[in-house]
Amino acid sequence: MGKIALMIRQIRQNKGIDAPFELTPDTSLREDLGFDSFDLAELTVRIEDEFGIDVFETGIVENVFDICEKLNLK
Amino acid sequence: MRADFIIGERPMSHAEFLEFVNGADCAFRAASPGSLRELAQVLGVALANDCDVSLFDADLGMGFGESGARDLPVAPAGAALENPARFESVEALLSKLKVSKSKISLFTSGTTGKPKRVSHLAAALAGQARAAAEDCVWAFAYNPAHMAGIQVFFQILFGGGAAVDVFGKPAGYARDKILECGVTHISATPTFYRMLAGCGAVFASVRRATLGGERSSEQMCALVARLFPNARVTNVYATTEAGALLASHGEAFRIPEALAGRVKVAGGELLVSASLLGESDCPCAEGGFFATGDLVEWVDEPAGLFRFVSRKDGAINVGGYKVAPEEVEEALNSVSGVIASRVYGRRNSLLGNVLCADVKLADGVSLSERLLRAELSKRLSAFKIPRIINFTAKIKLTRSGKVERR
Repeated sequence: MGKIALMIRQIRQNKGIDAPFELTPDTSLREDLGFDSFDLAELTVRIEDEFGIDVFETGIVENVFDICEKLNLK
Repeated sequence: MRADFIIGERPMSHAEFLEFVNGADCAFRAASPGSLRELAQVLGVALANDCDVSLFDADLGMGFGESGARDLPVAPAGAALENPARFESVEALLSKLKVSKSKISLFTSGTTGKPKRVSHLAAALAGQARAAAEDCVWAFAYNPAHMAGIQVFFQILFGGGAAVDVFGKPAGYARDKILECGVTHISATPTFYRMLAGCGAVFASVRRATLGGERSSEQMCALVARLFPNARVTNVYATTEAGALLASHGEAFRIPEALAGRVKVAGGELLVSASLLGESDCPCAEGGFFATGDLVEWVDEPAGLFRFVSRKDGAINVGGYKVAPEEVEEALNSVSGVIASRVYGRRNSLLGNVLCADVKLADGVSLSERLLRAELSKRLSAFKIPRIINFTAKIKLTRSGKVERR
């Protein structure tokens, strides 16, 4: 989950948001992190570059748990 | 007439050119010249013998065989000449080349699509060369297998002067040759000039600098004016299908009187009359006009002034928004420290495409993705700002030296 956290922090920072954030499996990408579809698309590209998997290809991803599950991360 | 018309590392004199053409017993029906010298050899023999010739990009992998000629690629079969032409003097050879019945087939550079064949009468292209001062030294910066390269070649062959070949060479090499050879004329793509500007030099010897092959903004024209402080800067619009059509001294163009009714703007696109085209595979729409695929917008419609915006087939669909990569590149290139950039879409299941950019920075400059995005947000709508920015040492270019869009 550490790598995902780093990616999320980078996306937030690129938007000018430096505030710390809490990341748990239940953290909602849209609700808690305020990600819009452009942010989510950026996240999928960054994840794909790191893990070789498009996490949105096979369905909806709501929270951090969904990502970890698709990537088989504990 | 000066002895060498190609100078620099692999020079060629007029006498050697004559000797080469007179020594050829096979013509070059298809060739992929990789240098100005090879272009001279291929066209010299073909035109002298009224043979049609097709020029391909060197990287298209044509299988050329041994020819008996010294150093050029030749079609492997079917090219022997029954009665090869022989000339007594350079003047006799040049006179023949000017009225050759050969057709030269070229292939559109295919920045976004599959290349298409276009054929031109060699004599018509040769006829465009203008008499120039004997001391003209050109920097040859275009692909020798493309229209602009052939035009510069004919210019030095028939118009006088010489050229130093810098095509496909690193920017530092081009800088050194321009300074060393005292180049007076240069015609190149905006991308070439951007790379040259990154080398940190000013070229006082250049009297004429021409921009072509890609869209040039006012900012680009100004950069070229700074690189060549003593030069008259001309921005040219040309197509492989019709050759050079429009010229201006900034980003805005006007259709000249001589082309009125044969070049027009319709539906935001530049259209060219079939009467101005070579023979080509490109279909002409109803009414006999060829759609160039180059989109324009009016700067001053009553005055007939317009500028080029993007390629029709080049827009990137990002979540339902259309983004012209040229506009984003222009914004990126205007950020201090950025030398060149390439904007492209990457397939994505959420948005269709995610906008990405490769960015080349000037030596010693350090910029973060965040800073660059913040700069862009002052100039562009949010959906036009690349979400992935890669800092790279090299921008991917086509064989014509344009930013690769595929």
